[in-house]
Amino acid sequence: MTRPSPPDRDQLLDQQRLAVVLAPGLLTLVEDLGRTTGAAIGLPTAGAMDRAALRLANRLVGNPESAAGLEVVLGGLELRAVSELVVAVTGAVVEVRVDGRAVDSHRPIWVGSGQHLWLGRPASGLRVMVAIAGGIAGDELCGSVSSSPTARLGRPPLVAGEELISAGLADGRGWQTSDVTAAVAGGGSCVVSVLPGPRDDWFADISELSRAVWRVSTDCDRVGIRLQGPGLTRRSMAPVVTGAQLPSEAQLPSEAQLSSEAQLPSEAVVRGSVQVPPDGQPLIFLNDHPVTGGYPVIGVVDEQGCDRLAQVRPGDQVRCVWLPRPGWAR
Amino acid sequence: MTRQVVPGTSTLATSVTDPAAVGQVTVRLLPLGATGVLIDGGDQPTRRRLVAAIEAAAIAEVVEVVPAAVTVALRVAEPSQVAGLVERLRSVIVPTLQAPGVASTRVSSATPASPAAPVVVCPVVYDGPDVAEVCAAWSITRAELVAWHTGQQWTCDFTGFLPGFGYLVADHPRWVARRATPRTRIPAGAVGLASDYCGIYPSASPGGWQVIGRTDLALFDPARTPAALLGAGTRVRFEQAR
Repeated sequence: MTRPSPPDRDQLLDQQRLAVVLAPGLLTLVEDLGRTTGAAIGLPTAGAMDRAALRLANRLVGNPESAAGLEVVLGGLELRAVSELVVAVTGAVVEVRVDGRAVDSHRPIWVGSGQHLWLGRPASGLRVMVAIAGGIAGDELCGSVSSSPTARLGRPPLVAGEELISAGLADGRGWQTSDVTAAVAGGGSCVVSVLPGPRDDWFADISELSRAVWRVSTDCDRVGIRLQGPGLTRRSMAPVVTGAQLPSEAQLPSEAQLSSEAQLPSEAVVRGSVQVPPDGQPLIFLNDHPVTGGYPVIGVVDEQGCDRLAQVRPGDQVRCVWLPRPGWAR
Repeated sequence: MTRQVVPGTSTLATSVTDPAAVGQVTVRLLPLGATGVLIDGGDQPTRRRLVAAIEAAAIAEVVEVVPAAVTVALRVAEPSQVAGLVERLRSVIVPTLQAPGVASTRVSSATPASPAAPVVVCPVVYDGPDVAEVCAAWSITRAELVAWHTGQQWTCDFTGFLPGFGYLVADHPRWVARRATPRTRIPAGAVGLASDYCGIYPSASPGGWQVIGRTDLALFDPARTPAALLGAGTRVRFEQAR
């Protein structure tokens, strides 16, 4: 049985202008599901930090899952619709109001032309996703309109007065949705699953990662999260890789220097990489990670774990659980 | 010379190569998340040959290739495709290693620069926070550091890390360790050293490189063609700005 649909869907999507930003909140960015190419020229994956939340919000408004929406840190966003909108709010649980009237998050919401959409501030969790039927238009770079503010890529954080334009994405599915959604508060403390490698063999005891209760430091943004805890011990006599091309006048490190500060030539890192500098405090790279890094990566947090990490705040606890090695790597 | 491909294991493998290496060289295949494989060639010449062979093989399920100093990372779309990729890689890599290679001990084996390409000139103010530490590590004066940096040609070996970033190798390289604790934020324009590379930060970023100076040169501009000034093979010269 189809849902009743007051506005005609095609009428909505023909409107080019969607809304005007009245208040941008703390930090609001336009994000889609990121790019799948561009690493060779140093472009980060970028895209929504809580990918599952964006996918859900897009399904709820009938968009393709990869359509660009808004990533709102700690809520506080206020928009005035300039055409009829269908909106969904997911991610961290917040109060949502249309012209002051309370509405549900994690549902499709109709916002009439001229009406105000207001988001409160989440009690827990960090990032709220807002999808608008039609998607949000932007300039594409390697197939994505996403923003990486540290790298100054994509649209800068929204400011009051800016307009949101429709990307015109209609996939003809109408208002039917099969999702059963419940607003589940994220953040606080979380457990993430970690795949071993590529450089787990640089560490004396990988169970140090899973035994510790890690605390999220204040270094916590779209690039990554630095964890505080007992520290990860390197294996002594860690592998040395010296290039055959080093000429004799290069000053090579001493043996003692090598075992405590062994250097890894820069190599590719991915979203979720748990990178460990010599001080032993792990850094988990997230969406705006640099394409390569020179400290060993003990393991990689899986996709669901990275989505959970999108909702943690400084001071929250993180625990890690090791997944088994893939069969080909045993 | 025996070469073999081994799957990544948790046992330690030391691989110290020297210019006259004769014996076993191991290429390791390591897991990189659910959809990635990191191929560790152990040294730069092996990496270059691996990258060439993999690109020539045009493996259909590979969606991205990320070369770096001594490794190349491959990514597929679905985790279920990784095991098949590993099998395919064995058949590509083993013949590559068995083919006679050029024994090379100089950085001139870096991706050759196109003779027609212009040299990128980068003006630098040498007042970085790590000048003293680098000079102490090499027992040289600041003036000697500037002379070493500006007095020779640099070549971009590969790109990545950040948009516009290139890993530059020198004709007369020197080696310095990365910082034990990376900085949370290195400003855009910073000129840094790590191992035997020089790099210029096109935008602010966390990093562990030793910062020796800063430049105003815009290495990356999405509105410009080309967006990135540095590509593999681009030649660079530094000059001291006032």
